[in-house]
Amino acid sequence: MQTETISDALGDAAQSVLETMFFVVPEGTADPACPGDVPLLGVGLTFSGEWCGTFELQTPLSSARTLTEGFIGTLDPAEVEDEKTAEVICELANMVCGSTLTRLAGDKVFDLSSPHLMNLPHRLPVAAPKDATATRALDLGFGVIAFTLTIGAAE
Amino acid sequence: MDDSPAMRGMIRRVISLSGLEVSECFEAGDGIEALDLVAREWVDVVLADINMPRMNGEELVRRLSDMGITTSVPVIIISTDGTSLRRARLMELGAKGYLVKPFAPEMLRDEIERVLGVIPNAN
Repeated sequence: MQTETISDALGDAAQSVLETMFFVVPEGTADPACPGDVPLLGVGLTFSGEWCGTFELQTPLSSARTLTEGFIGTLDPAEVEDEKTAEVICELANMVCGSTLTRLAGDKVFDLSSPHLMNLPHRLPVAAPKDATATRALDLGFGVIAFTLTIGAAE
Repeated sequence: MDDSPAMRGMIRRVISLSGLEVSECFEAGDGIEALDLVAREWVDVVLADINMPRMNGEELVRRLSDMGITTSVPVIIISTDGTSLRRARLMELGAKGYLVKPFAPEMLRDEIERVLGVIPNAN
């Protein structure tokens, strides 16, 4: 599968999820390289089925908190605890991954693992020669969020 | 039923703002907890995710169907998985509705009203 195809599906899925459930309209694409001096939140999950692979999300912690405010419908930052932020960003990863796979292969069935927090800083995954991988980063207006999908060989 | 507390909270909030008459809303983190809840409490509709630990949504629908519960208690699947094969499989197992995440709040209300046969604005 072409990297461009994966990247476009990632971008479309992320935009749809962010607009529909987080009430955030991304301002465009961005450089996926995360700045080194801000705390980051990273979430990863795996999927299996006709294809198997990994999905990762990284965003500054401050952006994750703003996204969480939109998802839970509060304007009070005091309501956005770290645990709640982690839960919401895990669900964001789950939705973007599932939506991307549906766009790439609507006639196949996938099982997604539960999302987990990643230890950061974390290098973006290195794909094996037969893997197809793409990263798409979006400018949220209050930070950058980067998504990486890697599709490996069939199980 | 969803293993994500964030999604359970979001769905609870959408339902409470939907205008639907709801006396109580129960939560379960997986299919085993959901089966236990359905055995103990009377419910009008089950909202279930697919990918979960211990017992997933597909197995839950299969069990509820085997118990004859899906004929009186409709199950709506709420999942990121919008693939045609998955949807067909769940509906064949006995699910009555299927909502793909992301969804606008009114889509959830509409799907609940549809499976319950509620006429909008009947009050």
